[in-house]
Amino acid sequence: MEEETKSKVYILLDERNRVIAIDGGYTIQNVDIKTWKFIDEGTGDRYNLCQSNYLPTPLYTDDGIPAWKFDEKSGLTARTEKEIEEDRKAIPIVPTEYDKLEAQLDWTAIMTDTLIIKEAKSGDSMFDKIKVWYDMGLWSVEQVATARDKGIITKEQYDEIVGKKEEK
Amino acid sequence: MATGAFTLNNKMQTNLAGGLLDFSTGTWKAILLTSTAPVATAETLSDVSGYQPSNAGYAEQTVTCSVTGNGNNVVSFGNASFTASGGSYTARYISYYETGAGLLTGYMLLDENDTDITINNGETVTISAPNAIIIGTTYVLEVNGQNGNVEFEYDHRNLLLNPFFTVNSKGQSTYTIASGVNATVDSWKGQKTSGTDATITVNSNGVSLTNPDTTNTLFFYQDLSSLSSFLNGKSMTVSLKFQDDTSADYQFTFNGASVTVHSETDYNVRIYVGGSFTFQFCIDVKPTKTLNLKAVKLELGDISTLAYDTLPNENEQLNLIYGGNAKSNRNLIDNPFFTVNQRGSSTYSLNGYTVDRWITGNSNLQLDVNSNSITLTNNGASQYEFIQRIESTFALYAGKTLTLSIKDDSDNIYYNTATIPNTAPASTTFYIGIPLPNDSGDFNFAYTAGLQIFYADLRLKAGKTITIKAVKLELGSISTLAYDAPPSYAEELLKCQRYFLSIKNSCTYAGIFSSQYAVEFTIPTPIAMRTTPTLTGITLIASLTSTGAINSTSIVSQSVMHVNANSVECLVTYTADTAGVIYSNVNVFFQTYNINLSADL
Repeated sequence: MEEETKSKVYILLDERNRVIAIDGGYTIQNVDIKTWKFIDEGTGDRYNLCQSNYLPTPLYTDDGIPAWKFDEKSGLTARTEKEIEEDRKAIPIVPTEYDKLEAQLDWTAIMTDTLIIKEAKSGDSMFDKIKVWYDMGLWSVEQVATARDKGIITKEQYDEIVGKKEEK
Repeated sequence: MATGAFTLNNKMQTNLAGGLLDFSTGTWKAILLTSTAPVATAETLSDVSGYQPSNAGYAEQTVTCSVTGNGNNVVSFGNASFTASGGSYTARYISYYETGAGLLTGYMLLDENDTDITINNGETVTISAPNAIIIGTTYVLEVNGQNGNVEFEYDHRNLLLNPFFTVNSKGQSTYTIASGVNATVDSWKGQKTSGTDATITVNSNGVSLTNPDTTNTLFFYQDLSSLSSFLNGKSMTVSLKFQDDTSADYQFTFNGASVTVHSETDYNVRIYVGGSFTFQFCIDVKPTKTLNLKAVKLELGDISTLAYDTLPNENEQLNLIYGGNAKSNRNLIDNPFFTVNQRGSSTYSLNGYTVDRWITGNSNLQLDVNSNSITLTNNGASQYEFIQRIESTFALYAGKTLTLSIKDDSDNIYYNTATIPNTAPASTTFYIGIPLPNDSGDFNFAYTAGLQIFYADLRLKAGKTITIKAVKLELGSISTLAYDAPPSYAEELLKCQRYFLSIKNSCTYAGIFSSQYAVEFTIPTPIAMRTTPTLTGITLIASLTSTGAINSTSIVSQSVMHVNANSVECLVTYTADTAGVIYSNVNVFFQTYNINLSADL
């Protein structure tokens, strides 16, 4: 009978048992059954189009962190906010070309007293931006201190950005 | 009639004196004209050799006869003028042309008093009958014997179309008659001026006309204005047959003005002339009354013959109603001519999707794509299915009459009809079944309780092969597949792309980093996809450095996050990029081949 045709659902796990891919059904060609794990079978969109319809929420967060995990006892479960946040913090901060350019522009503007606005349009204050430049390694302690001395950030904000480090 | 002896069979009760032709006086001769050529509109027949002379005066003539047909089965009656050698003459004729059978048979009845008529061999006789009525119906007329001994088998034709209410193209079981004119079963309309809505319910036994309003009348009518000039001055009979098998008939003469044929407690029968109507046949259902009609007949003469009528052929009725250009109902099956084949293979042997929207249920069921058809071959030992799941709920077709059709490679069309019940079944149920030729299997319309959708299902038996050109599912009780041209490829492609979109050639999509390990990008789609589709085909992402160099890496997963009206938003995650080689560059893009988005049902 027509409805007896069932689609199989497979998942791919990383070393921490996070689900990094789910597929099967109509796109079974994406699955290498030697490395993927079979978890379920059935009929309808949830199984035929399991890549995008099996889980009730997306496989990844919007910033690309796995949102589901698997173990033999509990099966598929959503990862907690805490687990996701820990993953998010563990991602190394890598400056983009745009970051490098903007950090350079901000430094030049401060040094030449040509900074047009102290509050970024996005709502990020210069404090937020300078903290990012410092965390990314684009600015040194001395550059942050210069921003403090020119009144761009406060003494308390400087301490928050650099901790107890002192400029040379 | 004088010497012309009309022999009435059991279907024939007539008084021709009240009808169109008056044979009560005179002596009649019959000439039978036949042709071996199909008859088209306004065909000229020549070298008619198979006539049967009624007496020696007309023996062995070659007669050329110009006739007018409408391309269908037609019957013409009328007074005719003849032009032949020796002058012009007036006579009466009955002619019957049957194009469906490919032959024409015509009968001229000549008044023997016109003794001067001589038709010489090779001469032309032109029949001019400006007042002739052309009615598409099967009319049987036989000439039997010699010397004007004419025998008729005369089934009084019904001037009303769809007289048994069996043609119901719209497929509704109930029509609500609000104020104004409302379409109902084919050729019949319902009208109210104001007040509570009336209903016209279609059932297997006719129609029930229910008028709950306490003041206003429900009008149930058919427009016969095109016949008014012909009917003017004629005596006619109206016959009503009710669902309890009682009947009534009423006689009247039409003189070009409105006439109340009969008035009862519950209803009136009227001929209405006014406005744009020059002959409107109308049944009035009086306030608070219900009329359960099985059939209606309007015929010439003063004898009712409705009791001898059988149910008309629905397809013939359809031809009559729509004049040989029967409207074609919308096809409820996608890709019905199998012309859309986005996956692009010429042969499929798999358990899965093949040509768009169609699934083969087993790898032993082979599908070959031909130029204007597909061939299914069952290479296995069991019966396998070829199906299309129809995006539907049970409520969509509950109570509806549906017709399923299939056309094979010889253009034979097989069809069947059923009415879907109002309650969803607890298990998979087949509602319409069509046996396929050569005992190869069947074609069905079914509902799966598991998936809770309807589906079309061709079941092919082991070892069998069938080539099919098209299939159709439509509302109503008639098959209109014969009238369908292959649908627009563009329209069918668009419908199919709601379920599956194949992008085969090189495409480049710009993306944005949502994090160091994920990129979002948008694929435009020609139509909103049915549900969140699966995404396949992305194998690589790349980013440009500020100096124009390209860094690339392989992906971990690909999926669609959101469906929009004309796009899908995709998320691709990729191999760990802790050094930020990909992420740090100025932009990211995908250059891909053969992307598939599947929202197949």
